[in-house]
Amino acid sequence: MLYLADTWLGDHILSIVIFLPIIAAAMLFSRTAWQPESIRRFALGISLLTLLFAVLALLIYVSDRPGIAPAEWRLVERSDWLVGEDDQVPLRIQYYVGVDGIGLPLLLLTALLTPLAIWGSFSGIQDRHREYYALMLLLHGAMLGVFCARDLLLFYVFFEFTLIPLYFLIGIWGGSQRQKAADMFFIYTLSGSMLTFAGVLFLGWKASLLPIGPDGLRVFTFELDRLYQLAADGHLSLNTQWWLFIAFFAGFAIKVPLFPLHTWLPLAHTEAPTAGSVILAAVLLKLGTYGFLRLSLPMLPEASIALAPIIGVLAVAGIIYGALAAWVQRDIKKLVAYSSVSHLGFCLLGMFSLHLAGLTGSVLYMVNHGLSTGALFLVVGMIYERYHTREMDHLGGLARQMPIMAFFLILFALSSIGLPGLNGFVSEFLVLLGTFNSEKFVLPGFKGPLGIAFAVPAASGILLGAIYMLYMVGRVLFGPVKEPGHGFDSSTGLTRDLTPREIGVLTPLAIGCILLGVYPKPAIEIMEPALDRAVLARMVPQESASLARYDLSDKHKQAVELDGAYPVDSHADASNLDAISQSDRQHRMPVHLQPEIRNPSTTRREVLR
Amino acid sequence: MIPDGMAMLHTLIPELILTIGGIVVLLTSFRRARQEDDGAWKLALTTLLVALWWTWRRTTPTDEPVATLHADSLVFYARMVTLCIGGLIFLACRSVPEPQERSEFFSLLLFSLAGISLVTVANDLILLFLALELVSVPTYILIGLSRRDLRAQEATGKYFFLGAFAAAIMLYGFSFLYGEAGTTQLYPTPDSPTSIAAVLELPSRAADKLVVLGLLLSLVGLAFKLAAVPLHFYVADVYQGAASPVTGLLGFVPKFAGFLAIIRLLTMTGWSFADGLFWLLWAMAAATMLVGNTLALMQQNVKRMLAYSSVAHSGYMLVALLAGPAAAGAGATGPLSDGISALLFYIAVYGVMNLGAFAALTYFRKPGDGEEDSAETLDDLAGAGRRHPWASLALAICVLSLMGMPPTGGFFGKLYVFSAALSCSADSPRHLAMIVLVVFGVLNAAIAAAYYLRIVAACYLRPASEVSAVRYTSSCGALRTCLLICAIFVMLVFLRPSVLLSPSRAAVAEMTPAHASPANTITIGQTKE
Repeated sequence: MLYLADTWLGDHILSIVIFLPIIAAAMLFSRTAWQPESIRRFALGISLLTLLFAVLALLIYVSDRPGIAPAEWRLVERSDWLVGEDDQVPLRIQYYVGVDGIGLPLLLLTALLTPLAIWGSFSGIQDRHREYYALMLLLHGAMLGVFCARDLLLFYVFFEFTLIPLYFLIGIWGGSQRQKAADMFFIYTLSGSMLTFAGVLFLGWKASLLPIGPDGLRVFTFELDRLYQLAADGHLSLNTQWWLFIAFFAGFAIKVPLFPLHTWLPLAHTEAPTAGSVILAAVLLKLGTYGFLRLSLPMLPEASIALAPIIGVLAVAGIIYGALAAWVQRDIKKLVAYSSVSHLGFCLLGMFSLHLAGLTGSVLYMVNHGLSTGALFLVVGMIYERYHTREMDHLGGLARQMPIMAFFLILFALSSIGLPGLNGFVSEFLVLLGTFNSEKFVLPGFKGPLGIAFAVPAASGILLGAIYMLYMVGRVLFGPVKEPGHGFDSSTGLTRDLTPREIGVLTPLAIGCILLGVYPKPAIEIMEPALDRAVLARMVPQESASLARYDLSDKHKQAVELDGAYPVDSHADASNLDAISQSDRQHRMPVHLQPEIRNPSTTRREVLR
Repeated sequence: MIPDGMAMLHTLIPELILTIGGIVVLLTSFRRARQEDDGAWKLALTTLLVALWWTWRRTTPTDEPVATLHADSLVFYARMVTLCIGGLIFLACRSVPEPQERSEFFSLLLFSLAGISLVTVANDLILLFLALELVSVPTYILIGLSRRDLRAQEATGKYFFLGAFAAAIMLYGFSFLYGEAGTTQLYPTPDSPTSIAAVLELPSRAADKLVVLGLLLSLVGLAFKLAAVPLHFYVADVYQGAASPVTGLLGFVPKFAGFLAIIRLLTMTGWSFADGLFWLLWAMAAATMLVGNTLALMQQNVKRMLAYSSVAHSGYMLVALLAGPAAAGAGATGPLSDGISALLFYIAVYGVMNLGAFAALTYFRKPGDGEEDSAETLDDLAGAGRRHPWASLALAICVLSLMGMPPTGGFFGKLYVFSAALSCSADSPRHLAMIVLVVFGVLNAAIAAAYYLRIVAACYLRPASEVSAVRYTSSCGALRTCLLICAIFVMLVFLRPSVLLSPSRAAVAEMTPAHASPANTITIGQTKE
């Protein structure tokens, strides 16, 4: 795939991935004469094509230029959006995209799930096909854009824009309370993200005041790399960081949703059409966690460390509360929705442990939750299409009626619980590992903010998760056969058990769950260096940063042991303005001259093995 | 050398074209015989285009300043925006007036537009006042002419009396300024250095209570034109009473004129607000945003809702006004830090998106009393998304833009306004006040989303109701063109913001008056002792 990297395709692959669905959506909207059949085929085809390009992007990413350090932004593309050079301070707002090891897995997750969601809604959507599939494609493009953006304003634009198509998807094709759910979803999330908007503007202005970055110029820009530099160079006081953190928190915590701000989620999830719930749970919630990871942590490191215990408490509260709330639900879809609150608590807990294992687990959790919860929503939707009910009291013993469905439901429920061998286990384990070890992670000037006090109650969340999931599975699949009074509805051409199309929709997700459970190493290898470099290196005091790492690859470890410096630095491309500035690299040099700080890292390594 | 009178006429050519064209259009009303053709409309539009062409050529001699007239880049911007949006208003209004009243209607519209550019041109208190009235008086009549309805007559009456009241307050304020300075000339010119600005330059006079009182009263009078709190109470009735395209006009024309006048007046003070004036404007901006949005939340009638939303948008623009121009020569200015150019940017986007929303309402017809009427309530719009997908899409784009969502021009409007407000005077105590105002503003934008969403929801989410849903659409091609242009422009400003950003920044480039030394053009951070 290396030969692709230098072609036109390789240079523009991310833009193709982002804008192919958007342009297709515009085309689809104007095709008023098309029959539902061709609309479906067109939408599915476009989303599959997008998936193909996303996979191509992955291949180029993995095989790209071996000389360059493993974790930096790749597939970078930029063009001017709003640029003025005639001032003392030039204005540079750009269309600027690229992926690294954090964005890429989520990009792939989105690209995989959307075609499945589109394919899965072939039977569920019987009305206004053209608008529905156009909106799905529009949403697809916007979500992909968020994970690729390298410019804060571009990120915000995509982040905000996802609201519009989803508003319509919930509001038009949702359940009986659809309009209330759509309004609540939109206004709730918008209120938070408007505060984030103020924070974004403040950061942009702040960055324009000072000459930052390697070129030492003052530029009015929202480029992430420049904004990262703001805190790294000490231009943001702790007080300012606090306020900015709250501004970002408002937008992202609502999106995640973090415990007391989750109230919009059950209604939106329950009322949305199946594909809407799938996209909402699998991808849109990840925009919040991704925002924390990409913006809050590295941009406002000191405030993040200071506030991490509070976030940790909220995350643990969310884990327990979400699990307990899921336990008492009688509606399967609501149960899965509340389980999301619980799971996303794990995700944030791992992230704010500020421990590489926790961070890796957190990103892996995003992917895994997307696969298993997305799949659970699909299965619930399939049951609903057949029986028009989601009440556990009206269903029972379906394993005998629908053995294939039962297989998938059990598989995804187990994956969601975190059964070893399936994907959920790996990420849950890493998250808890990171949380447990967070407080042992002591370096001069830095102490991991979480610890056993957070990990123990969180671990009990896993137990609760097993209870409510298995309880639901038991009620629905086993026991005496129970069907609602009106029985099975075959009017949409569905068979009693899953149709081949539905099996086709679920199979890729099942394969994903098993693959990531059995062999997560490639995914972790993509994420870990990126997290290390893009997040952890900006949070942990620089003198100790190179020792605060553990890694899975032997080569990497040898490099650390041989020369103490992180191997990235020796290869770093001079043109790369990313990440760690020159000054950071210099700061890190005296590390090996101080033997006493070697201890924490060695103990850490032992702990991790 | 051109004699003074000739130079004056030369400066005023675009306004002269509009006025003379207006008179000619008025005269065509004598040809009652041919009522059915719309020669008046065509003639008026041609006049507008000629004025636009002349302005675009930019033949105004800036090197020959005339004592009573300005000829700076702000004038150019104001003329261009007025004439472009004026053209859209003409498209939207084509089928509004009764056939026998066409000439009156369109000539008044031309006069009103001429008034806006005169407001920027005026370098004299009396001329400024006359220009403002030239904007307002035709709009009073336009409301009455636009509809045969009793409500339109009521709206005319209310608007006229309250407008006259506000004009009196403003004039009272002007009299204080005159009394203090002894001249009505606003800015000094080489020929006549005595001016109000020159007097205000003296620190002892600027802090004078009478000057502050004069400015205060002028601002309160102008607040009526902006529909800013506390002079906002007329909007809902007036907006509802007028025909929809005229309502679209009301959201832009008086507001633009009012803001231009305020910019001229405050530039005179060097943007060094006294404490009282700063907090007054601060409270006015906050209250305008909050009151406008909360009252809009309670409406079921889309026109009333958009009326109150226009109040709220005045609030956002007041935030930009409060940010003031970027500190000249301070070196700390970012490219998006100029409040005045943010205001000019915002109002142009607002004019287009607001007009687009009203054009869409006009496009949707429903059976009214006796004759068909434009859609007004949320129920009227129910199900419009299915019956008229393209018009609904245009409406949705305009409404989302009013909301400030990407990918529309309104997003960049909000971005520019709030960015300017955040970046003014970093180390002054007032910076915190501005940050608070910005936070208040973004929260208000979230409140606003709640009612804007109802419009979108009515179009797309609700099923068409049997009784009152939109039955017909307007057959007027000009209106459809207007709607199309508005929607496309709103999207274009998002994709290529520089189409509007560069002109709005160029507009303020020359605005600093000649007398102003850098020390005088300070930002609001520094108060005059």
